[in-house]
Amino acid sequence: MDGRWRLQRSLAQRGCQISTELTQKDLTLSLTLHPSYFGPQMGQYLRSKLLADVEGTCTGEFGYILCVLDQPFDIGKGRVVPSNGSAEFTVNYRAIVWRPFKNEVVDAIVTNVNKMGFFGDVGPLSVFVSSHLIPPDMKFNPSANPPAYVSEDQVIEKGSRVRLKIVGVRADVGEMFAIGTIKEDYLGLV
Amino acid sequence: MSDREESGSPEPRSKIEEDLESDEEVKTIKSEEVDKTQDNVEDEDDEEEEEEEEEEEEEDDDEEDVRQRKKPRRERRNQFLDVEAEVDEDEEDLEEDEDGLIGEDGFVAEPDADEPDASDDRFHREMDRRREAIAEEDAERLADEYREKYGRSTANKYRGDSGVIPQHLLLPSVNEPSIWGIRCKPGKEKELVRQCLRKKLSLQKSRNPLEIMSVFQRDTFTGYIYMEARNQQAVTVALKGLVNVYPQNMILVPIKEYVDLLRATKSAETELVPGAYVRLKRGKYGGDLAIVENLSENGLEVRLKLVPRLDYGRNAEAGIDGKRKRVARIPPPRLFSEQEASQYDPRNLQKRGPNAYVYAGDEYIGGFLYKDFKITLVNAENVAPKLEELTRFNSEETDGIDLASLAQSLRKSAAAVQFQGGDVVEVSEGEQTGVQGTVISTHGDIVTVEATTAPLVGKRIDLPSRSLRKKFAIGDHVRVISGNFLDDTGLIVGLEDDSVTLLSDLNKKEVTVFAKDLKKVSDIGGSHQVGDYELHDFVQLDALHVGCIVKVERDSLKVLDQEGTVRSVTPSSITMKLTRNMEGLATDSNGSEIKIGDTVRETVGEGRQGAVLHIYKNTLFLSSRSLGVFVAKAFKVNTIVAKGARTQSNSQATGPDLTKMNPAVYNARPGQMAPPVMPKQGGFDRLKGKHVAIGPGSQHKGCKGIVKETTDDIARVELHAPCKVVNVLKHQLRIYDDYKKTYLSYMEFATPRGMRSGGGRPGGPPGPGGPGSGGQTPSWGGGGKTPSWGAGGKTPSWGSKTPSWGGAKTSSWGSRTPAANAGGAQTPAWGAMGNKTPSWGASESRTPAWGGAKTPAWGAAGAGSKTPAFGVARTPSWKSSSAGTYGGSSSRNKGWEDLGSGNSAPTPGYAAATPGEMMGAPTPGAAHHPWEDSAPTPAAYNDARTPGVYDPRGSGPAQAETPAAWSTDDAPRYDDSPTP
Repeated sequence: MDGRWRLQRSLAQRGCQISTELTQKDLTLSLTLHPSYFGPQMGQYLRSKLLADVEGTCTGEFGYILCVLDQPFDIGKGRVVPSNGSAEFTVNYRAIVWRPFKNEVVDAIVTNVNKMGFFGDVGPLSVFVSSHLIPPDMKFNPSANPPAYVSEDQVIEKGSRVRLKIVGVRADVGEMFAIGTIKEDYLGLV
Repeated sequence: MSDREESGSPEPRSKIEEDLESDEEVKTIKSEEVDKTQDNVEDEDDEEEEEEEEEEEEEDDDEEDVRQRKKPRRERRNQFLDVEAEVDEDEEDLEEDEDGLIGEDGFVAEPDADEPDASDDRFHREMDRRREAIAEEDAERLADEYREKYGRSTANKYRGDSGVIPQHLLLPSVNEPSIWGIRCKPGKEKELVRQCLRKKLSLQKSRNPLEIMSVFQRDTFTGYIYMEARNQQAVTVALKGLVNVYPQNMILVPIKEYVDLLRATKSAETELVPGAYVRLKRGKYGGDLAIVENLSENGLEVRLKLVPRLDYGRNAEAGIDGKRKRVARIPPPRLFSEQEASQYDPRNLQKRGPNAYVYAGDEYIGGFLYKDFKITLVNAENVAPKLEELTRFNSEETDGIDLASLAQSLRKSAAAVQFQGGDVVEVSEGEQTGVQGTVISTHGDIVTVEATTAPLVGKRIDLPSRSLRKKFAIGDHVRVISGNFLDDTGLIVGLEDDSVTLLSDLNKKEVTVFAKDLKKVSDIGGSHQVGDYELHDFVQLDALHVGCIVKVERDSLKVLDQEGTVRSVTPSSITMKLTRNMEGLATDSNGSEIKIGDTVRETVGEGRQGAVLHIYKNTLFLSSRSLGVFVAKAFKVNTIVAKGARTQSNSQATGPDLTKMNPAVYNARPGQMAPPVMPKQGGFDRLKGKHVAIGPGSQHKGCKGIVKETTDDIARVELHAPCKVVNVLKHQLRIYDDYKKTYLSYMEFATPRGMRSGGGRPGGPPGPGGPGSGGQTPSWGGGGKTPSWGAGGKTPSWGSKTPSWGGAKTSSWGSRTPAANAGGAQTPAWGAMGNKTPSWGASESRTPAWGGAKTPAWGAAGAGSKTPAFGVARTPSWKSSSAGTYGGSSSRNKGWEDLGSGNSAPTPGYAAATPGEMMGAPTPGAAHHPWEDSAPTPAAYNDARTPGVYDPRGSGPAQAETPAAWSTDDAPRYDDSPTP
């Protein structure tokens, strides 16, 4: 994987370009390793520990850390913590991060439909599309199995793929939550 | 209440009439009086009013009768002189004469008017006749008018003041009886007035009737009753014998204040206009929102539009005696339904027109109740209509809420809309209507706004706050700042006029509120806190129950306990919040470890799936989006996803297997004691998270920070000022005590509180062996020979495989017992032993610092674990004898197990358990200590998992090795070490 990793998916949205951006970010993490682990496999262990600790987490600043890249991956020299024997490593690594933004258009998979709206997953992010933000011609049909929002030509039910626009994002500790709309042109069932 | 009306007062009045029969003015004065009296009684109940009205009618009739009766007498008089005051030929009371003075006006005026025609009789007569006719007619008209006006309470019919008479002529003059205000006991006014009335009535026919005209009280002037009389004497007489009134404090009301005194009081605030929102004060509709429909012109009654509360007679069944039973429950507000009325109570229903009905005497139009209410029953202040109330007024024909009047009502509400810097607003009235901007600052009611829309971009405008409306966009993260949903936060999903729908962060429910009740907040983190407690926090409810907070309400929490029941608790009733490292570990049905964050699914029952929020013994608190938080048993679930891809089979993910990697551990065989594995995390160190100052001895002296991590004797401190983490020796720290608000030395901190204050500090008084002797403690000095270590196999309690360790690793370690921290943190007992050694000896005696550092640790270990046995044990177990040490430590392990398996509640088993064994168990040297029996927690000896050694029967020999050493050298020291 080369160092300049930039995925960009562009969507034409009312004449303006709004893209989903997966950005690379150089990050550091401090890991403490028990002396038992000191040995030839230490690097491997640190790496797996880092992946376990970091991948899939979410910070308010960078959003989701989707993937830790192989390169560059610098463990550096560990420093033994006095009296403890453990060693502290400052690991520099590069990760692909994704932070959802307002007005970003994303594709989501519907996970849950109820009368208030539906939830969709955009990778790790959960997006709620309220019934207020669903076109009025789409009506909730609770008797359908599974429950669905139905219009003449579209059915949004669990598992449907929808394109939606994020209108609000809230970052909690360890997770983010977004509100989306499909009440605009070119949005809705893909 | 005027006695003039209700007593036999028509008589005096008729006398006045008699005198001034033709004088219109007088009558109007009378009418004014009637008005006044009417005003006076406005607060009285309906029935009284009705009575009064009847009386008034009668009165009117009387007046007419009197007039007719008097007529012939009148003819006897000189036709040309219509002034009685001068020619007082009537046999009337003298005081009535004074009344007659009013007539003097007429007398004075009359000649002037008549002078030119003085010679001509006919003019006089003509004029008299005409005037009489007019007077006659007037009287009738007036009577009619009165009847109309007061005979029915339809406010609509009121036509204002009698119209023809200029107001200033109605003002009282010096000729009126005076009004005295008499102090009375506040609250007794009405009672006193009634008493006066009764007195007046009963004395009316007697020889000395009361010479007072009226008695009344005003609600606005509490502590006074007013009496109308010719002279003060009459008042004094009337009040004689009455209690609660203080005639010595009598004031004469100045004439010009009469008007103020008797004015119908409507306070300035209650300026009602049709369309305004009001609330009713009491009764069936008490507290209900109403819309002012119409106002009676006398300002006493108001016609309101309400959402009726009707049960159509269903709950008020007529009793046997025909009386209606009292309706205990007020029916909920619902629009009038003709269908229901005709079904359940058709007798009371009349149709008045399309969609207009009269039901049970009340008028219903379009489903709403239209009813006249006294203005005193109406509250126009702080109405603050709620959205749900307003929506009730929204029937099909009325389109939407009347925003203007709503704004009017809201403006009046005490909690005016508050703007804060940064609020996005829209101008809703005035020249700049439609302009949007952001609030720069507010000064009282004036808001400075920087416009953001076209023509005015960047201009700053000062606007009154009432002409502004907060503006929000879909997706904004907002907080509710007032109303029912106070402090809820959420993302806006819908906007409609003035109301905003938001998706609550808390429960993902939609909430509709007014824009004015919202405030934009940062996109980060909706905090759901009540006090220290947040959503999904794990809390200890009582000794037996823990729970997970599943809902945070304004001042209560809904907690799901480990039994799966949801209880509503107040923050104050929660014992404590359990931190993450106080939670346990659990294994699923396959035996794989469950950690917080893992996703598991039930293997039985509904097969629910959720992420592990908390672990409590073998109970898991799981959360899933669809099910919310629920409880499952650990042994009934399967791990679906382990956090961080940790699974049982794939140990690569978590790194190499420790036991294999470390040859020492790997080679360990049962029976052959391997050096104990240093527990990576010896337990929860109380020091962690504390605010500390770094004391002398460190290069960071003087810095302050927060302890992040700790080891045996080093703390990693995150400094406040230079943003970095430094390692500092623990004993160099000075720890901030939240209770005492001071810094404690580490020693003080580590010593459990009870020990600190009492004289019995465990490490304090060294044995008689004194310094030095400790170092020679053979048990330690010859650490290698310590049977526990040397013959390690025989002290399996330390063996890495012994369950006691398992116990040690459980969260109970972290149970915050000081034991765990201090003693436990790294179990210095054997940190010391395993390593070099003399530390122990030293700890006892030689270096105070060291001793200080360690001793309390031990003390803590012994005493602090909160087990009462230990608490009271005066920690003899370790101090007294090395065997005790072991007993102590192993018992500690046991203790931890107990804690782990049970809860942090005291493990009373400790002291209780088989003291006898203990007596036998430890070294002889130790055994004879008086406190021995209480201390060393024989439970440990009973430990089923180490029976070979600790079996009571075996304990003798097992211990024998150790004690042998200890007892010889230690004996004096331990013997004499003071027992606290």
